This record gives sequence, C-alpha cells and structure tokens, in this order.
Amino acid sequence: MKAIVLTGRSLAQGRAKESKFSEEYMRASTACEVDPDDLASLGIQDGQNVRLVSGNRSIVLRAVRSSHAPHRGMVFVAYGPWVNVLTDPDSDGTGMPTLKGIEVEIQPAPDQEVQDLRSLLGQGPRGR
Amino acid sequence: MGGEGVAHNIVCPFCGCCCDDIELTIGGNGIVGIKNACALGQAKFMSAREGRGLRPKERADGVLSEADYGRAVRRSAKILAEARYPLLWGWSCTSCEAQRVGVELAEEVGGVLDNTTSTCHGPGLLAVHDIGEPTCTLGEVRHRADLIIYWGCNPVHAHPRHMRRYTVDSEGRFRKGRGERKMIVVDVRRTAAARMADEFVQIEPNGDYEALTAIRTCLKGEELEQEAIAGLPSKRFEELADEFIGCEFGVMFFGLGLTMSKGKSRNVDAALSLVRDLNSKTKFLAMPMRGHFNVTGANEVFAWQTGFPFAIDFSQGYPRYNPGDTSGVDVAARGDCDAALVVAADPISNFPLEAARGLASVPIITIDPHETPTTNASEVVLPSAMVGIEAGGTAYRMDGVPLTLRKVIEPPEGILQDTEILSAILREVKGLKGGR
Repeated sequence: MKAIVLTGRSLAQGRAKESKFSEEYMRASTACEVDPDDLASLGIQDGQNVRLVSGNRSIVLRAVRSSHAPHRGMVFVAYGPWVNVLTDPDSDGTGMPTLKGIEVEIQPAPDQEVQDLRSLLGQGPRGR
Repeated sequence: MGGEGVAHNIVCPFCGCCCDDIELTIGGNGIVGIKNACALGQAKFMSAREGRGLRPKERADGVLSEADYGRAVRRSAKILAEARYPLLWGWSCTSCEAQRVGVELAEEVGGVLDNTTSTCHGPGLLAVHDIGEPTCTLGEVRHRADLIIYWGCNPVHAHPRHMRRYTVDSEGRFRKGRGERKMIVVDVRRTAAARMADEFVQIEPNGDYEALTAIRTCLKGEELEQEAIAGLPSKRFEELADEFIGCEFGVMFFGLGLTMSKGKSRNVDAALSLVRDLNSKTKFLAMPMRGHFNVTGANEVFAWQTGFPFAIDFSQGYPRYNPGDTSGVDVAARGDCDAALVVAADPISNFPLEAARGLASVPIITIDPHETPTTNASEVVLPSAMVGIEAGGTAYRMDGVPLTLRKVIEPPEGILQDTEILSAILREVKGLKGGR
C-alpha cells in the first residue's frame, strides 16, 4: 500500500528524548500510527509490525491504530533515528531535509523485528 | 539557589515557550517536587539525573575510556585546530553565554557553525529574509488576540502550555478567555490540537503553499478558477479569508508542517505574505513555534556576532551564509567536514541516517549532559551540567524575549558547565594556533 509519512513531536517521544537508550524512547519512536481502515487493508492488527520502504531505504516499525483518523494513506512516526532511516538528506538548498511527506510503500511484516537503537546505528555497547 | 527548599518562577528549559512559572521542591540536592510544568517539562526536571555522563571520555584503540577534563580538552583542541573544515553543531539547548564562546571558537578554527534551526525553522528564517515578519510578543497575543490560527503544528504535544499561557485559554487584559477568542487549526491530520479548535481545516499533505496562496487570492478579491485546492472546495478558502479579515487582532502560529513539507521556505513565504496582506484589512501577526528552549537565542547570538542566524561558514576567515551549502546536514551528508564539535545536541539520532553516517566517520567531540548515540560515536566526550537546572544563563523565548535561567541544583560532582568547557577548549586552540 502506498502512503505518505509525516514525522513530528509526540508527548511520549518528547518525555523520553533525554534517555535515548530507554525502552520508553524506543517504544515512542518506533510507533507508526496508521489509519484503522488502512490497517484493515494491510490485513494486520494493532501492534503488529510493518515495513516502510522508500526507494532503497527501509525500516521496520510497530503499527499502531491511529487515534487521529481519518487520514487514509498517511502515517505518523515521531522524530527519531528510526524514521530518519527513510529521510533523504537532500535539503533542496534550504538546509532542511524533507521530514514530512516522505512517499513510502507499506508492507505487512508481522514476522520481522524492530531493531534496537544500537543495532540500528551499528553501535556496540561501548560506541561505534 | 543552593540547599533545600522551594524555588519559584523557574524557567523551563524544554521548548520555546520557556514557561517561567515553574515551582520546584529541592531536597538532598535533587528535585523532589514540581508544580506548573507540562508533561514535557516535568519529565526533563524530574529525570535530570538519569542517563548522565559522569566522566569525560576519549577514544583509544577504538574504545571510549575515562579521562579527565584537562586531557579531554587538550585532545579536543588538537582535533579542532588540525581540522581543515570542522562542523560546530547544536547550540539550541545551551545558554546564550555558551553560544557566544562557540562563535569565537568557530571563527578561530575556520569551521562551519550551525544550530538546530537548520533542521527546524531554518526555512522559515529564509522566508523572513525575503518577506519580513510582522510579529509581536506572546504577552500582546494574550492581551489582545481574538483569532488564533495554528497552522501545521500540534501545540498539545509539542508546546503543551502554549494555549493556556499565551493564547486561547489564557486570561489577558482585553481578552478574558476562550469565549472571547476563536481557534482555527489547519493541518493534514486531526491532531489533539485540532480536536480542541473551533474549526479544523484538513488539507492534503504538501498542500500548504496552495492553500495559503488560495486564501491570499480570495483576500485580493480575485476568483479561484479551480473547483478544489489542497483537497478542499475553493469556496472554503473564501470563507477562511472572510474569517481572517473579520477578526480584530489575529495571530498565525506556524509549525514544522510548513518548514519540513514540500515547498519548505516557500510555504513560509506564502504564510508571511498572507499575514502581510491581511494587515491591509485588519491587525494580523505571525510567529514560528520554536522547538528547543534556546534555539531563538542561538539565532540571536549568532546574528549579533556574525550577521547571520545559522549555517555560518568561517573557512574563508570571515562569515559566509549559504543554507543548503553551509548547513549541518548538507555538510555532513556530502562528507565535507573532517571533524565535528557537537554541543547539547544528538545529530547521530536526529540527522537523516546517511548524514549521520557521514558525521560518524569523522572525529566528533561532544559536550552534552547525557549519554546519546552521538556521545557513543565520539572521539572525545565532555559531560556537562544541564543548562537551566544545574547551570544558569540566558535563553530567548520563541517571541524573542530574553529570560534568565537559574541553577537550582548542583551538577553531579566534578561536572563542568558548557561555558567553562568551551572556554577551556578555546584557550587551548588559541595556544595551538600561535600562542595568542
């Protein structure tokens, strides 16, 4: 299914952002809010994983039933290193990458795991 | 303040609201109670001691090991002094006093100095250069505004006390409360703020420029030829134009929905142009919803010292400004920088992954209170006191009003302030560069 990704601040992500290696931060930053009708179209349940693919970039996130529906064809993910996997660094001459409006293909991925932060960034417990 | 007791009127060092009515109860050199803060401010104050770096570190044989400040400062200065084109990034979660030292350091090492503006409201500042910014203080909004527009922002999650302290739910001198004000939210999703609005206008993603331009067209009395624009029937824009004109004092607060979407600076151009045009009919102002508590201060200090608010390149020996070329993400993604100094920020988490990888491939020096993916990727880590909690200084609220941050508790034993660490690196760099 094609969709557009919006990123932004969420209360949960904002509360946990000073503790980047905490479970709370990972939980808040890996939630992908999906319109309930889109969840049904994808054939997945609230809490199951999805893979978001944009060109040669892709990331597995946890699909969460959105409480801000209707917004079919649009998903929300809080700012963070997970969604930044999808972001094109090209800033169109402004300094700002396009962090809202990223076009993706969403695929059900109930058997794939969401990477933890160290593994996502390729960092061992003592650094790079 | 030192010791135990209650500290009143503390400025919150989280978002650009800089709420200055926080009450903290101090006990055992920790914060044990808090009043008036939102969920974000509460989490920052109450978890101030969590996830902290407690000793300087430097990398040896690929592993970060504990060091002392003297050794870590000398290593940092050597890296910066020997670099051809270092990036000095962050600055929005520290004090203006630390930012000032940062400008001098950037000039000394001939680096690129950029703050997190370039990944939040940087495109908005580019629009301000082109159009100007009809604006005011949040106090004026509270006392006088009868129409509040939130466009592309969700204050309930990002600035939770904005509505209560400064806009629709505040008690002003001439506008007493919600009944005397109207709130319109324009966004692509029905956010928490949208549910609290009198009117919610849902537009298509990346449709902001068209929507803003459509309202401007109606305002000028011209007809819209299309039946639908940005996912809405054209008639809706005529209604919005009438509503905007019909107020006595309107304010448009705009968020990253404009700066991060397709169009970027041009979206803010359109918003500021609309506000400018509205002033031929009524009183109307605009203000960006700044995120970090002192990102506005970073723009102010950098602009006083160099003439430019962000993305400043000192490599020619004088300040140059060319966002898109001299901005942090672009410099890191192109692999232009050969070293980096990160102050109070976490670009390895917050940059697009390809730019983060570019940054991680060069020696990074990080000054930050917390352990983060950026400290993990660093060559040298200098832990610092939390500004606004363990160190004082000056911060600028989103409307450009300077406020005094206070030290309410002591930092962990032996931990220095950003200003002290940066000044020590600057002295060392000057010594290496010719004994000045």
